[in-house]
Amino acid sequence: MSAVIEVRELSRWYGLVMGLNNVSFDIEPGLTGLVGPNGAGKSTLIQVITGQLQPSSGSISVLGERPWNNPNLLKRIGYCPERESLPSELKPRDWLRSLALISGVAPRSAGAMSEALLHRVKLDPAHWDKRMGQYSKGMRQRVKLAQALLHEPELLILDEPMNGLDPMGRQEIAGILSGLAKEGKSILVSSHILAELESLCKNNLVLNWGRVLATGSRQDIRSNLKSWSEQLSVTCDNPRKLAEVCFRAGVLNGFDLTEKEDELVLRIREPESFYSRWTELLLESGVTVYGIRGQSRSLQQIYEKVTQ
Amino acid sequence: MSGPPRQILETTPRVMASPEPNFLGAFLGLWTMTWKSRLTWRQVARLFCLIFAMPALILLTVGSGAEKAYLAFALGFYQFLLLPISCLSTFGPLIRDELQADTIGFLITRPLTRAKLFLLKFLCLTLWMQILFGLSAAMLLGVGLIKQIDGVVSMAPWFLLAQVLAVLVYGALGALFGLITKKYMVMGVVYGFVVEVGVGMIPSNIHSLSMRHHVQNLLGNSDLAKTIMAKSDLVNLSSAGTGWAIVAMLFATTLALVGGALMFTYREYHHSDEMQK
Repeated sequence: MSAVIEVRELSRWYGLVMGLNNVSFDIEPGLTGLVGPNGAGKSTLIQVITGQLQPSSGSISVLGERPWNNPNLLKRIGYCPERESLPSELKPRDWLRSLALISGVAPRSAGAMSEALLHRVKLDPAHWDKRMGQYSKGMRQRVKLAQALLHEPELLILDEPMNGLDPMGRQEIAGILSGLAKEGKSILVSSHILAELESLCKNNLVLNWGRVLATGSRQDIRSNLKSWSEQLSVTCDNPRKLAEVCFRAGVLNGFDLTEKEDELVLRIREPESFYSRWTELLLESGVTVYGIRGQSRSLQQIYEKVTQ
Repeated sequence: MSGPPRQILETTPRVMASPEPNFLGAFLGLWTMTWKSRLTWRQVARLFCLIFAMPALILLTVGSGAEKAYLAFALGFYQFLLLPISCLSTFGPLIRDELQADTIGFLITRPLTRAKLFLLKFLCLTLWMQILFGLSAAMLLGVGLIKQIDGVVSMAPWFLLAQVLAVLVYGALGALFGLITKKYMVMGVVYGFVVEVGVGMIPSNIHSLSMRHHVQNLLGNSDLAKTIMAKSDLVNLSSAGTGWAIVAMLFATTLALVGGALMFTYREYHHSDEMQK
C-alpha cells in the first residue's frame, strides 16, 4: 500500500525557533493519530501538509503531490483547524453552503449537502438557526468537522477535533471518524492525549520538540518511546564532566542536571549502544560514581514523561 | 426538523463526487459570506450612517439653491474624503479580518489559488460597497434636487461614474495596504496626503499618480462641478480627457490588485503575532 503522506528530512523554522526538526516518516492509508503535547510541532506539520506553510528544508509529498500553493491537491484534502474560531455572524448552514460553493459544489446541491453534513456530525437542528458566535466549543468542533467533509476529500486532516468535547461527544466524533475510515478515507487526526487516539487509530505518530519520537502501531510506539524515555539517574562527584563526555559521544537525547548538585539524569538515545559504551564513558570522564538508578514505566507514563 | 433526512444522506456522496471549483460558484459563496456577515443588526447603525448621514446633513444645513455649500458636502467631503477613507477602512481588513478572527485557514485550504481567492473577496466587497455608496449617492443627488441645485441632474452620471471608479481604486489600494501592514489606516492617510493631495496638486504630468486628480477630471465634465472646482485652490483640473482618467484609475486598480494577489499568494499564514489584534 503506498503512503498517502511521505515526509523526508523535513524541517521548518520560525525565525530562530524550530517548529519541525529534520523529520522523516510515511503515513499509510487509514486512520493515523498524530500525538504530542502542545508545542510539539503537530500544527506546524499539519499546516505544511495542507500547504499553508512551506518547508524550510526537506521534502513532503501528499497524495503524490507537493502541497504548497497547490489547489489541485486541496480538492482532495479536507482540513479542520485546531482553532475554534468560526465566522461569528454567520449561521452554520449559510457558512457551509458558501464553503461548498467555493469548493465547487453545484449551487443546487450545496444547501442539501450542508444539512446532510450537519446531521452527520450530529449537530442538533435546533441550533442551526443560531449564529455561530453563540456556539459552545463542542458545537463549533462539529461544524468545523462538517466543513472539512464538504467536497468529499480523499484525505482528512483534523487538528485536535476532540478538543472541548464531553466524553459522549468524543465518542460520537470517534465513531464518525471510524465510519469515514471504513468508507475508504485516509484520516490524520491530532491530539495531545495519547489515550484519546490509542484505541481509535491503528497507527500513531508521536512528536515532541519538533521531532518524531515514535511511529507505527501501539507495540512499535511502546518500544520506540521506551528508547526515548530510557533514563539513567547518576549520582557522582562531577556530573557536568560526565554529561559533557556522554553528550560528546552522541549517545544522549539530552540530560538534566538536578538541583542536587551531584545528580545527573541522562536521556539515552539508543539503550543498546549506550550500555555497550557506558563503562568506557565512565572511565573517560574519570568521575567517582556514588549511585546509578534506571526507570521503567507504562506506555501512558512513558508518553507523559517523554512529552512533558 | 427532527432526525436526519435519510434520502439526503443517501444521495449526498453521489452529489459530492469530485466537485470542480469554478469562478462563478466561488463568487456566489464568498458573496453570501460577505453580505450575510455585514447585514446584521449589530452593523445597522454603521450602515445607516453611511447611507443616510450625509444626505440628512445636507438636507438640514444647506439652503435652497446654495450650489457652493451643496458641492462642498457632495464633492469636497463625500467624494474626496468620506469615500476614500471608508474604502480604506473597509478594504484594509479584507484579509486581515480573517487573520484576526483566525478563520483564514478555512479559506486558503479550499481548492482555489490564493490569487483567485483574493480577487474574489475583493470583488464581493466591491459589490457590497458599490451598493452602499450607490444608495448614498442616490440620496445625495435626490437631496440636491430637493434643494433646487441647478445642474444636479447633468452632474449625476459623472458623479456616479467617478464614484464607481473611486470605490474600485481606493478599495484596491486599501486591500493592498491591509496586506502590507497592520497600520493600514496610517499608511493610507500618509499616502493620501503625499500622493493624492500633494502630488495631485503639482501642475505637471506627475499629478496623474493622484486618483483624486482623475476623479476631479471626471467630475469636471459637469458644468456645475467644474465651475465650483475651478474656484478652489485645492483643485488642479487638467486637459487630459475622460478616457485617460478612466484608464488611469483602472490601471491603478489592476496594479494594486496584482500586488495584493502576489503578496497573498507568497506569504505564509500561521498562528503568529500577526494574527493578534
